[in-house]
Amino acid sequence: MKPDKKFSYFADSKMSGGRKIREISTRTIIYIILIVLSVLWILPFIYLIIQSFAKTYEASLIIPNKWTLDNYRALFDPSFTMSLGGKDVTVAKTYPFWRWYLNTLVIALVVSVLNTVFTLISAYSFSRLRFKARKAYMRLILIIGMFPGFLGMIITYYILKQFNLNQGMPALFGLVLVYISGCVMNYYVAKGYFDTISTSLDEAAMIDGANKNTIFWKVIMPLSKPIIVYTVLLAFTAPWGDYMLASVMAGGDSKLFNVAVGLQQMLGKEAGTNYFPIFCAAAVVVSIPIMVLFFALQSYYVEGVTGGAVKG
Amino acid sequence: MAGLKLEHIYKVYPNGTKAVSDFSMEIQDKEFIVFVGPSGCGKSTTLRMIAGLEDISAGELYIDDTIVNDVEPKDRDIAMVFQNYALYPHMTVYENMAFGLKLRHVPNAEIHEKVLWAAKVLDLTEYLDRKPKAMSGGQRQRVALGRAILRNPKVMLLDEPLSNLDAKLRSQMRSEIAKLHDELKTTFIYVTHDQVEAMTLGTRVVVMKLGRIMQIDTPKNLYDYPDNLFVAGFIGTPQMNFFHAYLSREKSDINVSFKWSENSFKVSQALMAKVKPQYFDGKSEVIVGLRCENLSFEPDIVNKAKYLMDVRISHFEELGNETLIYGDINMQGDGFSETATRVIVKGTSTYGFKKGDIKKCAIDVSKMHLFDIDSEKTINPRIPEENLISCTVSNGQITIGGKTLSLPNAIKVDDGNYDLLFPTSAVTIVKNDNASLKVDVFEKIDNINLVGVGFDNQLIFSQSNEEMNIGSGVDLEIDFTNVKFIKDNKVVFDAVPEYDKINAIFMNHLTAKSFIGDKYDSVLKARENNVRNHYDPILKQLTDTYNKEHQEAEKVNSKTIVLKNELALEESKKNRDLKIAEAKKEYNEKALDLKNKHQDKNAQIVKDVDALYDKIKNDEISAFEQFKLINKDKDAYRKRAQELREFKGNLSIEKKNELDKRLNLEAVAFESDLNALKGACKRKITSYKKEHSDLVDRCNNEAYPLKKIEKEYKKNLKAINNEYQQKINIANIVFFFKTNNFVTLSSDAISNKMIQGLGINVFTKQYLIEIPHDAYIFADEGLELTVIENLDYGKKKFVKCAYTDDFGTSDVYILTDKEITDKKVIVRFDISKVHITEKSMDIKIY
Repeated sequence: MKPDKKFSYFADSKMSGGRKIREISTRTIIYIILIVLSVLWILPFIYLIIQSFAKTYEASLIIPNKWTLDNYRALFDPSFTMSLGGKDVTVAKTYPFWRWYLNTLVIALVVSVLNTVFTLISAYSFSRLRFKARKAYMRLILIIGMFPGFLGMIITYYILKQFNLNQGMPALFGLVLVYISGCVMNYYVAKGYFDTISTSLDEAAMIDGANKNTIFWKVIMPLSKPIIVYTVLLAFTAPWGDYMLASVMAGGDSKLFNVAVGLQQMLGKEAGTNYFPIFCAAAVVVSIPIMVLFFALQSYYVEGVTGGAVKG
Repeated sequence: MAGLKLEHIYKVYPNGTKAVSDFSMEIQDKEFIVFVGPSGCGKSTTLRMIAGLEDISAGELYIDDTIVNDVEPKDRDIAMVFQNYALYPHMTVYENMAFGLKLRHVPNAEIHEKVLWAAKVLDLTEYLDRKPKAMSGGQRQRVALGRAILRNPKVMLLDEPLSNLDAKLRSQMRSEIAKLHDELKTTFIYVTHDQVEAMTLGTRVVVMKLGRIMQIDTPKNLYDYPDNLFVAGFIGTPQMNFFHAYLSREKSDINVSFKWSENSFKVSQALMAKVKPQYFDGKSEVIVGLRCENLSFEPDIVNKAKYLMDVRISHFEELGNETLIYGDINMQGDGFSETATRVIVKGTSTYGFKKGDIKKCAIDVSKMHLFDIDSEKTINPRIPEENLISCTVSNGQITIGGKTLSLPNAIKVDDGNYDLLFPTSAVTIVKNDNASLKVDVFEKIDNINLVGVGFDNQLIFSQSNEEMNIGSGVDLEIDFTNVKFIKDNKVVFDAVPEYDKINAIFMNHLTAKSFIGDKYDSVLKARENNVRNHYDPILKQLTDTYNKEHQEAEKVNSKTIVLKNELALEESKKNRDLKIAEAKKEYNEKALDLKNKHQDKNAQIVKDVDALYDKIKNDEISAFEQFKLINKDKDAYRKRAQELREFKGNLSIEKKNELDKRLNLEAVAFESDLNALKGACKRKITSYKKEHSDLVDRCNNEAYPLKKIEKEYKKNLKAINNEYQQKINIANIVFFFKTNNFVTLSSDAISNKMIQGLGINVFTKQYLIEIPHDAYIFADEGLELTVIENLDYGKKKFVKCAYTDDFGTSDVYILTDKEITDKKVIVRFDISKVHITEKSMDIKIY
């Protein structure tokens, strides 16, 4: 294809002089702002990573004097003793981080799977089924969702107590229940997505012999990868970072802590600043699953999966 | 492959809007029916109700004589093609087409065969492994068609399948659909708003407007004999010309004079034989419809023409093969706006006319359509439904055009002149060569023999079973029960209405008990016993058969059979694994080959693009060098140099774009090739697996027949028991109608329809029960009627009674031979003969 030079010449000649300079300078300013912002955002995280490798915590130093991997080892290895603030301590015994990590991971995984299923199913029914009081019900859920969850924390605790789900390992199960029970509140985004999928696909499948269940799993789900990813991420991060409910349910039993509650202990008064590098190491470890999850799911996060379904 | 029957179908939305009203039609097997109408006329809704995607508010839908109102779409054995294709985007064409069959657990081999067949029919074989997004609109619609024909459905439903395609593709797909209908020999129902599609495709066309059927007929008949103004205007482009006019009788001719125009002409009355005489008074306005091809400015035709009118030419539309000449029959009209005097005439050229010329236009009056201005119905129907003639009554005799008939005793009118209005069905005509009456008109339309008998210059029409010749003698008899006597536009003596109307409410047994007590408990018991007597033997037989089969199966020695089959199974398994490994290996090799080729191609593309753009660049530079040599103007040089700089700057971008484009194309081609390969491999592997698992199933059944028998028995037992229980439940549910203070049992058929049509609201509504006169039975308990008089119509005798309820008093006619002398009678009515209508929304239920 030979470029049409006459045309390009006349078209571009208008964009000479002042306009070009203005455009370049605007862009430069925008880029500078963006760079500054991204540095501001990423700096705390880099600081965290660097500090997690520090031998001792020095508030005035960004780059530590001595580098070490001991902080990570101390988190997981119960036979590893290190000296902190002049005392020899076995960190993994004082703070059973491994246990907290496992608690959180199991809860978050279970919750993310169940939440996703329930959220999508309810969103699908709100989008496709027509039943009485559908709109009123949707509005009600939306309004209830606006209140912070901890308003009902005390009554939730009492309900779980009635079922003996407030102590020991059952308390973790109770926690999962609480997380799941509120998941339908997040139906809105998924419903919006389902609304964009043409209902004639459902109808075609109905005529092809599919029931609602088959339509949902075989027709709608494969088209909803972006929204599944979104829902999974949301459902995973909520229990992963939750503090309030988790600390109430744990009731001070360190075996039942999740990472958020556990790590808060490290910043307590008695711990002082001695544990800070270990805290940093723990924070880095905590962020790993979320990153893994995001990168693993990112490839499904492609747009335009519905291309060619209906007229185009 | 089946016929369809729609009976009084309604679609009423919760807010009370009626999307479809009283849709009734019968569709024969293998017909191609087209629903056509402007948007919002309910055509798609009707189609979706047939498909089962919308609930039917009231009425019944039969496919193959089975009522399917409550049948799921998948079980109706229909297939549907959507306007927006509705293909599953994540599946390939093959999977899209196979999806329906897979859900129905059709064996893979059969699916494969069918998909290949459909792909061949629709020319899709090359695209089987593509995803819909990599296809064009026409191809996608073909896939949608393929998906539909694959299951060989009883009925194919197409919902505006071509409206998303461009004009050229549309006509191509249109002929493809026609071909498909020819090949498949199945019933097609096609919805469109495009009258060209309707006229070219349909064997019969249903024209709809605002949820109502305007006319159902063949395309040709719709065009030639429109029933009403809407159909006349909707079918045909350009639209039919409509003029307002008055008709008046002048001797044996009818004078047609146009309103707002000087034009008028006389036509012979024979052309308007079927028009009721009331329109010939010169005062009632009618609408005259003339198609543009039935008008002509062609000089030869105008010179010979008998019927002419003056037209003031306003403008022309020259379409190449023909010319549309616009004008106005009103000399002050502009001919542009759509008024009742604007006229469009089709011609072969402009005939040298100029704007503003006043020219004579020839009219083909045999193709003239006439419509009533209020009802918009045709007043010159092909098959008249009513006769209106004038007569004289004196001394119990009636004289029509010189012929005298005797009046039945029941008719009590004073002597004088009357107009008689009666349906054609009230007239019976029998051949009799000696009779004085002669046949004046005979037409055979479809399967109907239309006979017209002349009384002076009035015609009485009737439909006859036999064919007759014009001029042959006949006997004529009028059923006076259906005759209305009219004097000065007022009905002096009314006909016996077809039905008596009685108000009623519907109630369940519990409510009814407060009126009738436990009277119907024994009826319920009998109903239940009926069901028991039907199902108990079936259950017993099932168990007996099972016991027998069970004994047989116990004799089978499983171990020996297992041993016997072991080797074959082992062999098959090995064979399967081998084949799968082979297929996988083949796939890997081919995929690798494909990948290598793809990479080679990519490299080649990069090379090609490099070479191309190098050449372009060099050409430009050398052109500039040459320009430099011959040019002496400084400004021109500067401009040229600037141009070159810009060109160089743009060249790299353009090169990148070109490269990206070519690489993308290659990548898409590679993807689809790879997908095809993957799909083929996957299909092979599934079929190998299936082969083996089929064998395993067979061997298992042979070795352990007991399992299968037990499973089957349990399944059947459960199914029958469920049905049994359901029938018992139904037997215990009865409903009642309550009129005034008489409660009568409703039949199951009626109750079903009532509840199906109206749901839970059924008990809160008022109903109109229309009772035919022969449905009454004298009884001890029932409707209390006050006798008014005995009516003697000769062959039929009635007792006219008055029935009074909260809504007022109405007449009831009982057909009986008895002479009733009592003041009061009590009657019941046969519920299976009545018609039931819901009053507030006017829905015909039964």
